[in-house]
Amino acid sequence: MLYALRADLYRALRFKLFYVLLAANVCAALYGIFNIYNFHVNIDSGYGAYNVFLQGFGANIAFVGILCAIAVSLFVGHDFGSGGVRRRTMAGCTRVSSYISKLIVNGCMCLLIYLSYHLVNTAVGGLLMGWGNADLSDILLRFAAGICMTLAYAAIFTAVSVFTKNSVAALLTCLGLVAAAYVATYLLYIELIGIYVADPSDLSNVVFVPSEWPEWMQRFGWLVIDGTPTGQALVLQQDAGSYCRFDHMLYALGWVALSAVGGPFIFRREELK
Amino acid sequence: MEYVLRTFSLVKTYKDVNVVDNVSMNIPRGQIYGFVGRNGAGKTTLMRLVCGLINKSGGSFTLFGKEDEDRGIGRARRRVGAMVESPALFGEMTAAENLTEHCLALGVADRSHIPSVLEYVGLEGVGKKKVRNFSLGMRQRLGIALALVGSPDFLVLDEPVNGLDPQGIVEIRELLLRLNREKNITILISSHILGELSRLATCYGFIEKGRLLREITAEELEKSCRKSVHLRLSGTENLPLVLERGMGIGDYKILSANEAEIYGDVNIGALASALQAEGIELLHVNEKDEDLEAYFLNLVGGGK
Repeated sequence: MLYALRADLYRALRFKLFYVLLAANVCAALYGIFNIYNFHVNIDSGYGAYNVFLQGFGANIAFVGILCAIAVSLFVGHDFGSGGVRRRTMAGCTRVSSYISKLIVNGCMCLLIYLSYHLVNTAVGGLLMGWGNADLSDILLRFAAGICMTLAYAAIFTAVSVFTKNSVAALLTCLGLVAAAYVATYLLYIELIGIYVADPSDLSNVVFVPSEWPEWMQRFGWLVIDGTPTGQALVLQQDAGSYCRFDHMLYALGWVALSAVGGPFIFRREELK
Repeated sequence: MEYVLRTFSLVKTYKDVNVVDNVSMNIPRGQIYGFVGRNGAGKTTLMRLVCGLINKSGGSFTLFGKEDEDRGIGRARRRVGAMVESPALFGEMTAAENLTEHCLALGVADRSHIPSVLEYVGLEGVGKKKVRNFSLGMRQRLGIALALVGSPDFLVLDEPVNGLDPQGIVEIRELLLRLNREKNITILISSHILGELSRLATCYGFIEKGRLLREITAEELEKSCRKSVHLRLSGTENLPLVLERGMGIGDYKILSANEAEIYGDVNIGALASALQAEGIELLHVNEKDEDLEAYFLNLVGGGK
C-alpha cells in the first residue's frame, strides 16, 4: 500500500485544483475576518476571531463540504479517466491498497483545505481582533470535531468517486449530496430547535414553542443532523455555549470506518476497463 | 520447460456469452508470443484477465508460478510491464513525471534510468511538454516506456504499434527483439499487423470467438505454411482436367477465367507441358509461401 500511497501523493502535489481550493478557503477566511473586523470596530468589540472561527465549518453554505466534494471527485475521477487506477492495478497494487491510498490522500487534501481557513484566522484574525472571552476548550473541541467532520466528507466522497469512476458524474453526485444534505439538515434544524413567538397574552413577551413532532421523529431528525457532516457543520457554527459533542466525532469517524471497510470490499469486484 | 504464464480453461463471461472460452495457453520463458485473432476474438479480454483488470468467470492461471488467487500475485504482477488497449497517461504531467509516478507505484527506488527509457522509445527530446499535447504515436511510445520502466521480466503488449509511423514500427520491433535477446524478457504481443508479428514472434496463439484454436511455434508455422503457385493462363476452362487427370493435383483453386492457384510443390516444367498439350497457354507463373495472414485466415475459415 505504501507504493500506491506514494504514487497518489506524488499526483496530489501536482494537482493544481487542490491549490486553487486551498486558496479559496484562505480567501473565505480573509473575507470572514474583514467582515467581522468591521463589526469589531464599528459595532461591538466583542466580535473577534472566535466569530470568524465559527464560520470556518461551512459559513452557513456547507462551504467546506463543497470544497471537499470538488477536490475529491475531480482527483479520483481524473485518476480513473486517465487510466491511472488501471495502470496501478497492472503494476501489482491491490484494489484494497488502491482504495485506502485514495482515502488517505483525499483525507489529507481535505484536511489541509479545512486547516488553511483556521490557520489564516489564527494568524490574522487572532492578531487583529483577539479571541475575546471564548473558552479554549470549546475552541479546541470544535476544531477537533471539524477535523473529524472533514475526514467524514473525504471518506464519503472517496466512496462515491471510486464507484462512479467518472469526474463529471462524481462531481455532480458529490455536490448533489452536499446540497441535499444541507437543505435537509437546515430544514430539520429549524423545526427541531423550536421557535420564539410573541406571547398572545402579553405581546411584549416572547414564548418558546418547541417542535411539535412526535418524540421518535425528533430523535430521528437529530440523528440525521448529528450523524451527517453537513448537519454537524450546522451545529458547529452555532454559538450556543460550550460545545461538548463527542458523539459528532464518533459519527464522523464511523463514516470513515464505513468507507475504509466497505469501500475496498465492494471495489474488489469492480472491473477496470 | 519454465512458463511465465499458463492459463487453465480460463473463462470470462459477459451476459451469458463466453468472450474467453476455456482458454488454456502456455507462454514459455524467453519467448515472444504472438497473439493472433480478429476484432472481438478475446485477445484484449484475456490480457485484462492476466493483468488483474477484470475478474474471471472460471478457470485459473499462473503468473511466474503464482496462482491468480494467491496473495503473492501482486508481487508477480510487479514483474510484468503491460500496455493494454490505450496507454494510461496523465495528460497534465510530462513524460518523465508519468514514468516517475509509475516507478513510485511499482516501488522502484532508483529512478535515474528514466531518461534512458525515454531514449529507448524515441522520446528523448520531449522535455517539459505535457502529455496532453503528444501525438498518438508519442502517446503510444510513452505507453511502451511505462511498460518498460519497471525493468519487467514479462511484457504484455496489446497492439503496441497502433498509431506509429513505419519507422516507429521498425524501431519498436527492433527494441522488442533486443529486449528479448539481451535481457531474455518474455513478451506477449497482439497485433493486427500480422506481417510485423511474423517478424517478431517465436510462437503463436490463434484465438477466435474466445477459443484458443492453436498454439504453434514459429518453426512449426513455417513448416505448416503452404507453398503455392499462382498461374496466369489463356483460359481456365480445361484446367481441372489437366491438373486432376493429367497430373494428379487436387489442391488448387480457380480464381478467375485466367487465374488459378495450385497449392504445394509443383513441377513447373511438367505443368507447362501438360497445359500446352491441352491448348492452354501459360502466361505467368509466380511461386509464393503462405504467410501468417493466410495461415490464420485458413484456420478461422475466412480465407479465399
